[in-house]
Amino acid sequence: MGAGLTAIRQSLTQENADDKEAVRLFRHAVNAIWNDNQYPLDEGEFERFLQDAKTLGVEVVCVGDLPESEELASICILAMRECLTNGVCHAGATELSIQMQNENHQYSICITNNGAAPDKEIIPKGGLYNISRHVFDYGGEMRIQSFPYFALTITFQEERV
Amino acid sequence: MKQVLIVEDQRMPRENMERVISESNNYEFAASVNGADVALAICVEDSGLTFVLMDVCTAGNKDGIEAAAEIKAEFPNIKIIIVTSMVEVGYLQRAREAKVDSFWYKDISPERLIDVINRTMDGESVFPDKTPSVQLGLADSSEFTNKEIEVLRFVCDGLEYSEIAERMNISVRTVKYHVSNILSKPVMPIRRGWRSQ
Repeated sequence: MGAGLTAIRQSLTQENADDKEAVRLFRHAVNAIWNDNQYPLDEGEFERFLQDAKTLGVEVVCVGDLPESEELASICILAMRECLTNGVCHAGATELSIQMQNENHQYSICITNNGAAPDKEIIPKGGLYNISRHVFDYGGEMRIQSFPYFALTITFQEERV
Repeated sequence: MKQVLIVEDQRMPRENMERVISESNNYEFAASVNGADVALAICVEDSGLTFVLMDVCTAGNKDGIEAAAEIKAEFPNIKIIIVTSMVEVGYLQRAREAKVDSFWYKDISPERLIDVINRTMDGESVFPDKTPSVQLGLADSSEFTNKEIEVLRFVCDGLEYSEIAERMNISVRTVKYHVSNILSKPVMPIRRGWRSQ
């Protein structure tokens, strides 16, 4: 929109300005806003994760609901994203399975993939380590299973959820 | 045709970049993703990618400059252009250290994006000389330190001082020190209750 308005201002103040270009830019801006209004769905973090998984060619099979707490939901989505990228880059995964449940006074999320099993035990560093710090900050626990297949499990006590 | 990956989590700028690519004759839009964290995975999967337009603040676990450094380390031939509207002083330096090819400010750079892309693909490295300044209230962004801008951003997001301290890994006292400095700049719109925390 800014580019369109700038171009129109130039066309009004300068004799030799390119009116067609100004109109074209302005039309693009109007179309973009129009398209935006056609799809008012909020693109939340979880929807963005699903979009990115689809772009990567990974099918996400998801059972259960995210925690109601925004902070905990955000941590769970960060974990999903980390498992997505690790699964594709290190295991050649094409499917991500996410199981979330809230029972026995605790919330848990378990993420696995259909890729190759790790060839050695996974020690959390980088992204996984950062997620573990977030989990511990919110009083949760994070476990990583390396064999016979990779599984990441995070649990939070009910009062936090 | 040269294949382009767009990393941008805001819909309108993403569509704008997609339009720039689709209207060009030299480039082909390969994919768009919301998070910089998945960009490396896309590069691993798609061996035909030629360059990446990378936003800095995106969805996910990494910012665009971190992700760019990883991509450059593994795929040095893929060209990367950082695109951002954030006038953080540290971004330019971090981008150079990450060995990205070019840097473009979405709303401020005088060059058109397609020209920066073309010049980058011709082997040129297009970087602004310095971080542009913008108006913050009646003050100029160049009057603020990096930390002050970071604190200001969190304050504008509505975070409490304790939350800002946690995010920035500093003490609440240090947050208050930065806020005090921010308030000493010329006429900032002051959030109600800002001083009283």
